[in-house]
Amino acid sequence: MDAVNARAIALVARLVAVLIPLAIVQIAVVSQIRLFGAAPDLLLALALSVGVVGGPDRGGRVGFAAGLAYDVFLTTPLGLSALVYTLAAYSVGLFQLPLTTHPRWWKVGSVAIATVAAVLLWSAAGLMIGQDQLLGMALGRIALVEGLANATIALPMLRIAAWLYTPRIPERAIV
Amino acid sequence: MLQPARSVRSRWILSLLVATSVSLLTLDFRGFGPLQTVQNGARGVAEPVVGAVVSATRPVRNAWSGIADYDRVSRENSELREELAELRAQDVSRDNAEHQLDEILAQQGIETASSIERVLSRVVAGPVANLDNTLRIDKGSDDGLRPDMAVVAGAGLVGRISSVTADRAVVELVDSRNFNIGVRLVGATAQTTYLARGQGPGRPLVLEGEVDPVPGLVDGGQLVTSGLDRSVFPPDIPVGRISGTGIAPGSPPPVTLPGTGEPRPLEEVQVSLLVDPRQLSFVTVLLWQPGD
Repeated sequence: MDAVNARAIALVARLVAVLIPLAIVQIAVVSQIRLFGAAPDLLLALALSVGVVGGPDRGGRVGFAAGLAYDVFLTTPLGLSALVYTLAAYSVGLFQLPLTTHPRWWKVGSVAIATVAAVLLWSAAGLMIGQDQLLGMALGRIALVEGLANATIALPMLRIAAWLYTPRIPERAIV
Repeated sequence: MLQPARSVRSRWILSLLVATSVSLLTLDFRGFGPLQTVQNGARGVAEPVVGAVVSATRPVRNAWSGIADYDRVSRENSELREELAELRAQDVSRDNAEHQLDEILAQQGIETASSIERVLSRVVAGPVANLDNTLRIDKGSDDGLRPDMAVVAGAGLVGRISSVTADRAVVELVDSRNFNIGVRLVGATAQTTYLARGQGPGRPLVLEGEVDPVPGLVDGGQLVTSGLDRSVFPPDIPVGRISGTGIAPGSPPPVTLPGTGEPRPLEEVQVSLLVDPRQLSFVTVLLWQPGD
């Protein structure tokens, strides 16, 4: 049990050490660098990458933490990004084929397609809770561009996700 | 395929995370004080760090903007040079007229936008998400800022304060969807006021409903905030110029109602903003609230 607790603490420490700098870099730098009106979303890319390499449970947990970290800085209701990132990262984990390894193009494609779906889901959820300002935005274009942008950063995010969750250790041993 | 026990556990974890997210949304909607305190506290800790990173990486972002927006910036530069030359010719007489007007109104105890106390702020970050339409500025409640205060730049209205921490504030931009402003037509013979509504980032505002083509409601006609009772903005802040009516200054309305010959009301009258809120480095917050 001590070994399990130690691994859990180490995992949480790695997660905090990754999420906080990523959130700051996303807010301060990446969100200000746009192409065709959209920028990559590091936090969403990380959550989806964890879903791809670590499965739905891990993806859901990291999606929740990443979404909540982003929500702190947004003017939209707290919990919206947490909800959407949780569902997106969990879902992308569910849809991975039961193979021991995935080809690289499959992983990158999963992150890109899940990003597009997450942006559209975020918009739909936002509209449902009264965020009417979303109607004035080019949602389709933003979703597509963000999907392509996240595809370009998917490989390093997948490496970080793999580092967070060492695949050889069964998930049951890791909280 | 997941084992049944693991499948149940997996669904339980997902349900717990979704329930927690929905609970946070509900509490946020209800304005749960401790939650907002925690959020403001987290922002208060993180935003100075964000500001430092923004400052350190400004050359990188400027270089990217120069590459990605080169054509637009070059074209805009040429247009602005022409406009500046025209404005310089009008500077002296306009400044004199404004000064005299301010003196007269001050003697009568009538407040104007130029008489309102204001705070100059640096824009530290633009929209922080792809579906966000706000700015972050480096002043907060410690400097007197409060929610709903008007934010302006040299040429006109930028937006309003949507949330404030001790040393940072978030500005909702004027072109956000459903951002409503009461506006008045400058130079109109009647006191004509309208409701201008935002349509989304980068898009012109639209005057609500059908608009009677009164004298002065022509392409290029100027609109300022009306400052009517219960308006969140003080009066006389420049907002934008009318566009898309198809009516040039001095020309009659192009379409009349059959039989009566009366000019047909205009629909979808657009208002081009005087300020591009996404190209600002500094803004000014007017320390004014309704009832002041």
